[in-house]
Amino acid sequence: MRLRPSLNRLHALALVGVLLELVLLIGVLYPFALWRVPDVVAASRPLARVLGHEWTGAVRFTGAVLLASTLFAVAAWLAGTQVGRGARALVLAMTVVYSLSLLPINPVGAQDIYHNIADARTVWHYRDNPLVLPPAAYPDDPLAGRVPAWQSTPSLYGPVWYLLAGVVTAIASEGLLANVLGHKALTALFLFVVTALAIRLADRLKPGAHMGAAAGVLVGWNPLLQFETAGNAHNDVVMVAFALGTLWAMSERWWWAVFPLLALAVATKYVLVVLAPVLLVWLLARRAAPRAAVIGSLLLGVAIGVTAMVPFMIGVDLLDAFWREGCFVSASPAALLHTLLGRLLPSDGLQRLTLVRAVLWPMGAAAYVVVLWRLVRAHTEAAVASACFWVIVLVLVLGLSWFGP
Amino acid sequence: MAQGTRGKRRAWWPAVSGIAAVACVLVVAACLGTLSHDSFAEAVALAPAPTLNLPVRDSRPYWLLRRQPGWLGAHKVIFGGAASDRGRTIIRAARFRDEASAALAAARLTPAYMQRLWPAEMQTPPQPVAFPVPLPGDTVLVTEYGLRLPPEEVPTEAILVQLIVLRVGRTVIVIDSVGIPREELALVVEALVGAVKWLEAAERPER
Repeated sequence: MRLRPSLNRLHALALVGVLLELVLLIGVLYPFALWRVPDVVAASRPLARVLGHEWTGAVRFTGAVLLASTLFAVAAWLAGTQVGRGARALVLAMTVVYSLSLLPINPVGAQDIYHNIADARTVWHYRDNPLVLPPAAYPDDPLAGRVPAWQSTPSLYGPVWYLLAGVVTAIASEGLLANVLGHKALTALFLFVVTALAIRLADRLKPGAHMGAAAGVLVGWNPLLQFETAGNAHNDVVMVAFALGTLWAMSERWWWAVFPLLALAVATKYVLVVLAPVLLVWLLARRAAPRAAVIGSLLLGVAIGVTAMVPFMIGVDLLDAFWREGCFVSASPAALLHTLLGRLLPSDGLQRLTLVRAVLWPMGAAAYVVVLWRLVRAHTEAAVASACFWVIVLVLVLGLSWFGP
Repeated sequence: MAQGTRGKRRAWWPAVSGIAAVACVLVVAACLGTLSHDSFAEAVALAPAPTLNLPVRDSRPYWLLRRQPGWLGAHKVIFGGAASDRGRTIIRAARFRDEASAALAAARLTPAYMQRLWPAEMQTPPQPVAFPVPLPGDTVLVTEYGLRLPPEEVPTEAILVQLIVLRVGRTVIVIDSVGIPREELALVVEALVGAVKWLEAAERPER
């Protein structure tokens, strides 16, 4: 008996998914498991601290990354040929399996998680503003003392993140392990939501192309995203979930929901405010969207954003905080240019950063205008999704001096 | 028709969820504690400016000893610290309602406690040391700690930072200084003590 080709491809995708799971178990869970590395790894190079500074440690991690990336690429290619619901179910099921596999690892890739735990306690236990008061302000707190980095620096997230983190705080109380697992589970849950939204959006934006399963694999089976969410509890995925919700609302023609959802994304992390002009330009240029609904949605979004954020802004010099945050230079094209200029010009770091911005920001602004201009003449939802993608790329590559969206 | 109505109803749920989320945030945020500006603490922290002759690189409300009883406000000023400066001195001043509260709070500033307050700066814990000249103030603790440098900077020898805890009346001051001669640091302490006494005297008639 011969199987149908589509079934063969589904079996192949499942096989690759299982192999990817094995790589994650052996290459990531085994060396970093919380029962092997139970304590906070307070080091400037935590991965190297755990795996060892010798070449064997580097090869071990690089090998797992390369293998996982190869399997991920094969899975994405196979998923691009999948049509049925079985493939989507498989993608979602394996997304959960990968997250569950990475939940019990020590968050070696992010010291932010301990800061986030302390910030949540600042809000919910001490009833203080974490945009003003850093973890170091609570030297008697059992968890603030476990923050390995940025102890004296207040965080700069939005109120929606603190609201969600409060759920973990309420459950985990003063237990460090419970808080760590809670933050990881929270971000893993949002990764699942993002995966499901990506599948639905891909099917909706490109009907007939059958790209849903591939979109799901690109998100949920992505080893990097899994490592950074279920593994390290980076909260960017929460912002992304609301951003995809915004695009989903547009594709469903829920005009009133568009800007409120974007406001929730911005009230998680502020950077996505750059998408507001993109959405507004497209909605106003599109005749099918009633002007009253668009303006109403915009006003509702602004109202939600402002009322959520204003109480957190009392006593906060936000411009100063953004300025401080913006002066970090690391792991970005701006950092590369900054380093090159350092070799050529006798100037201090801040002067060089000003020069770098003088070069990159006008380029970014010009490219942003081009994206908006092209969008005016586009009418499909796929075009606005594409424009949002390019705007985020512009912000990351030309706008920020470190990759911290 | 029925489908259209359901579609319209569904269209409202994200907006309603957003409003509900914001309502939750507002309930929490309405009573969030923050740092207010304390002009007394700021004036104290800025007092050594003429003595130090270093540019003020940062000046902002601060959280030092904020959870201690009787705390009214605090301020932090960073003098110098740039590559072109001869040194760096950080003055942190916290003001209390009364002398007893200030004394209780100052007593908390043991070397071990201070390492918990500023772990990122300290490579080694503060160690009490003798100071060449007697320093004014109601209580004085002079310590030194080894400065923690970024991983890419490898110093040829340990950089020691002077960390002085001072209580003058209702004010607790922490001086964190590197690169400034001790004789000059003694003048800084004198300027701080003088500023507190002058400001407290200026406040007295109003009370």
